[in-house]
Amino acid sequence: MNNDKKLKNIIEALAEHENDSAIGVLERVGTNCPNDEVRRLTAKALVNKNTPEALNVVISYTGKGINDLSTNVAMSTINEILALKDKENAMKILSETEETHENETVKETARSVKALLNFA
Amino acid sequence: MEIKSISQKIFKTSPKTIESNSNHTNPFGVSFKGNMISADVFDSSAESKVSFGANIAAKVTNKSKMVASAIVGSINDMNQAISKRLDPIVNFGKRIGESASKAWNYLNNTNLSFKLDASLDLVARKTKDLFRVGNDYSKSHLKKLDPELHIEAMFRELAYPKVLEATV
Repeated sequence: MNNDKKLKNIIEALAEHENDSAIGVLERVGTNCPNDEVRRLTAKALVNKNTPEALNVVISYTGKGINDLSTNVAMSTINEILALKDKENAMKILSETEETHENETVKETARSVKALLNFA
Repeated sequence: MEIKSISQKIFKTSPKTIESNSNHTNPFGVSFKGNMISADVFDSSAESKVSFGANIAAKVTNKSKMVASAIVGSINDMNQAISKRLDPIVNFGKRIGESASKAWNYLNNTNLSFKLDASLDLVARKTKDLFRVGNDYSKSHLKKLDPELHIEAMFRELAYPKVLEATV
């Protein structure tokens, strides 16, 4: 099994893991990885977890998820949020970020994604 | 006394009485006087019967001798065949034995030195790898592992690869 496949399996296993500590592992290791693909898969995994803790990472953390410096990763994360069946948690976090976040860029991005969710 | 009779007495050259058997037939139809030696190939006399039995016995003996010599010959061939096949194996065993003893002598006579600390570190790392719970990267297996205790280290190693320098 090559390394890419192993990484993919690890990230997917963490996404489906029953133990909530998997979110912390994804955030500490996956979202800080220099590899764009790893960050993209990690953000996707966190979105699919669909818990407030996981969505908070990809919506309100600087340089992660929808705020990632790679346009590819950011757009991919937004698409995953838009594809969620249950958008309640995502809408809540987006609203909180838009209203309370200290970073203007992060606020602006959250506002844009929220608008897209409303259109979807 | 006639000379003739004297010579006859001295040299005993009495004329032989030659029985000319005119009953002898010959294919040439020629009668002649003289001794006809009759030799019958198929001699049916008792003496020839004994010799016939002896011939059979001789034939049997000869035959058994032939059989015996064939058996001996085949045994010899078998021995040769066996040794032909065993010789390479024996030689191979000898070569292995020689290599082993050479290797042993070399090891006994060679001085090896390690940078022990670096080697121990490498051994420790590799041992840790061997016994790591996460040698299996299948999703089903990973989902059973503890994320912080087991998966995080595996994830970190793959996501942030390091160049290992091993010094021996």
